[in-house]
Amino acid sequence: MGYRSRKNAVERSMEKKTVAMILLALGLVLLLPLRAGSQVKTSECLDCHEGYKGYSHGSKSCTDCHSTITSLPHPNSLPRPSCAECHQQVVYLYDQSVHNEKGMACKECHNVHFLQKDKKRCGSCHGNVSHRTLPSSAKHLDRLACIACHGKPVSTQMTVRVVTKGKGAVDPRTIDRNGDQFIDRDEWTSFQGLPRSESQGKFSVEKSYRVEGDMHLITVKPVKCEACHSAKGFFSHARLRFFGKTVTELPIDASIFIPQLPVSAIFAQTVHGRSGVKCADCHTSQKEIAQDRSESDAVCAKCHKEVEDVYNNSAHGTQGVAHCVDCHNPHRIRSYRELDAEERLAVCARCHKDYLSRHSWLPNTSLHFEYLECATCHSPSSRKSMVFYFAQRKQGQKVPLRYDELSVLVGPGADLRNMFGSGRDISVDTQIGQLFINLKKQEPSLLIDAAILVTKVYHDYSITRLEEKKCVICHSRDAHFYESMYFILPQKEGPEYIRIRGTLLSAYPLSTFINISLLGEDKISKRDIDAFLRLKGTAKIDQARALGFKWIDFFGITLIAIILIGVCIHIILRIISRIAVRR
Amino acid sequence: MRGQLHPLALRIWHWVNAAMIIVLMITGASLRISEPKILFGYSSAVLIHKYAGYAVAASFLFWLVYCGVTGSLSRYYVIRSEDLKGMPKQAKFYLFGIFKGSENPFHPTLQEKFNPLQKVAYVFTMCVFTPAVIISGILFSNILFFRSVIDLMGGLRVLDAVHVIAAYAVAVYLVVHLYTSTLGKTPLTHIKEMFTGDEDHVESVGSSSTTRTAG
Repeated sequence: MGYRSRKNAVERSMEKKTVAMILLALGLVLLLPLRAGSQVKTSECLDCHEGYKGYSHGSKSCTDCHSTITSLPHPNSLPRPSCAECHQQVVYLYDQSVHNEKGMACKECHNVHFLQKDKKRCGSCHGNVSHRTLPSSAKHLDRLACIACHGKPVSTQMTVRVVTKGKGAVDPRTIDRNGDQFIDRDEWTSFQGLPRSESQGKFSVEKSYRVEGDMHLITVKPVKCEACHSAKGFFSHARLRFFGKTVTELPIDASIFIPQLPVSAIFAQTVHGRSGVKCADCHTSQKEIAQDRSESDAVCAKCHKEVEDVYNNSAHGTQGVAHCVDCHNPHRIRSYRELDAEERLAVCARCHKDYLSRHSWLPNTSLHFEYLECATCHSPSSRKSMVFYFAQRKQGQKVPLRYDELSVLVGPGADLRNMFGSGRDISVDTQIGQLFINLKKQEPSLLIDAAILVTKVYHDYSITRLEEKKCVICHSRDAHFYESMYFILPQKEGPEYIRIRGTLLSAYPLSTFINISLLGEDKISKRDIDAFLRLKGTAKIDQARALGFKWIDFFGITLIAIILIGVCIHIILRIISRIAVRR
Repeated sequence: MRGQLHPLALRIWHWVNAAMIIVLMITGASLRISEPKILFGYSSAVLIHKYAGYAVAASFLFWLVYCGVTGSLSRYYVIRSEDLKGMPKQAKFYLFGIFKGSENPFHPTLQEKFNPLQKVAYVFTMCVFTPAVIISGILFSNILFFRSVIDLMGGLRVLDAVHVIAAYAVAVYLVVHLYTSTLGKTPLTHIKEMFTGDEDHVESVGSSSTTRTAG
């Protein structure tokens, strides 16, 4: 039993080894063909990957893309196939797109195994794009492909199909009247206005906008309005296909159909453009905003709420006489500082044409308007400053001096700041006057000019001052602008504003400031005399000096009063004596 | 010697000049009182003042030429030592004598038209204050044009002071002149004379009974 069992065990072990060897040999034989041809047949793949039966990606086989599979069975984990191997150009463009930036793979839009299945369009993901900020969004979305705005179109074409109907179709010359092979606006307008008999029935106009570009290159930011709405826009080379007696194709002025924004070039330079205001911030629809003025004010108020509140409570606002755009052109807007006083005055004068005759009560009317602007008087809450600057008389016009012109007068390289002396406190009466005299010796045409400017405007111009008409509002030492006076010194780097103090009331003994001199001086008042009488010693003398020319009126009127009293006494005495003589 | 104390030309001049000066006084006051609309609108006051000023300047020129040519300037408008001596006597008459019914110590003749006080007042008014007010007024008429002259004078404020001081002097004179014109035989005697020319009263030296006091 023991021997038999030992023999059986040995035999059994031998048999197992033999089976293993055979199996191994079989396995090797089975694998040989793969190794030798490096090819795994698509059909073999589909044996396992049954779901991909009927796949389509052109004539590609599985291993064309899954190129790391050289034999079967393949490893569980395979590297992602590279689309770029075949679609090099597309991938290059895609790399620049917003979709790539967001980490989207090709397969998120393309079903790579079944190219015709699950075709993704823009709307598949962006199904409900409201385009709220796009003016006339429905119209734009209906007519334009997404890439027109969101891509980089390589070719664009607008075609206007005009199909004439009726018995006798219209001759092409009916539309191209001058025969220059181009349809301009006038020709189009007159064509549209053709009487029925001449156009021989109705005609239909269809506009189509063809945009070619690569869908893979969807840009991060959409194009600006000017991409189409300008003379060099996408569809600027429009063609008219005229189906009349014959089919004619002619170029046509695209601006007839695509309104050109007249301001697109200027707008970028405006204060709005510079601060990043976009067309669509105001134009939520292609409907002209200005048609409804209260609506247009509301558009401005989106940003300028504070101004609107002030304005609405002012006379202009409550009477509804003028709206924002009546004074301000939002497409050409310049900041208040960019306008000179003359330009600001011109804004008011658009309506207030009779401003000169209305101010005829004002002595030296035109002279006042040379130095003041409307808001100086009519908007008391506006901030004002009196500014002085060097000017030169050129052909009767006062022209402010530039740095280079002034440095010729004071000597090249000279520090203009030193002209005022070392003191920090610069006074109109002394330093500026002296400087003026010194410079005038060198250049007789030189003058120091001044203006009272509004530095921060308050949109309430309700004060008419009709009742006041008081010269002393400005012509007195208490005038508001004396608190804010600057000398504008042209420097290499730009104008420097130097703070100065003092008043202009004929303060300077020489009438060098004749052009800007404020002749009026406050009259002597009871307060002056009371103060004089109350004071004692040197203070009295100081007060007497301070009164200066005011004494003339005091003595003049006093003298006349005394004489009149004397005359009265004389008359009374004459009457009394005459009565006495008669008795 | 028969003659007119007030020749027609001078009478016309007197009243034209008077009217212009009144206009100047009113407009001048409304300019000086800088709140407009009290007497005149400022702009119209400026305009009227300016042209009335030109008129007075022209009338002054006429007076100067007329008096110079006729010799009345040297005859009536030179203060002599007798005038200075006569001044207290004349002042005494105005202050006391006139009430007592005393006779005016001065009798106007073609040789001596003005009493000493009157003469001093006239000389100062016509030869100092009026020229001063006229010249400064002309400088004011175009500040920019006369700029260098104004600067030489000491500036606009000084010019203004000269004009206004002289104007006050003329105004003081005007008050006195108006009152003394009523000091004739009757209050209207001198005023009438200034229209009629005083023909009936002055015929020759010392023959007049009229007391001439108009100052």
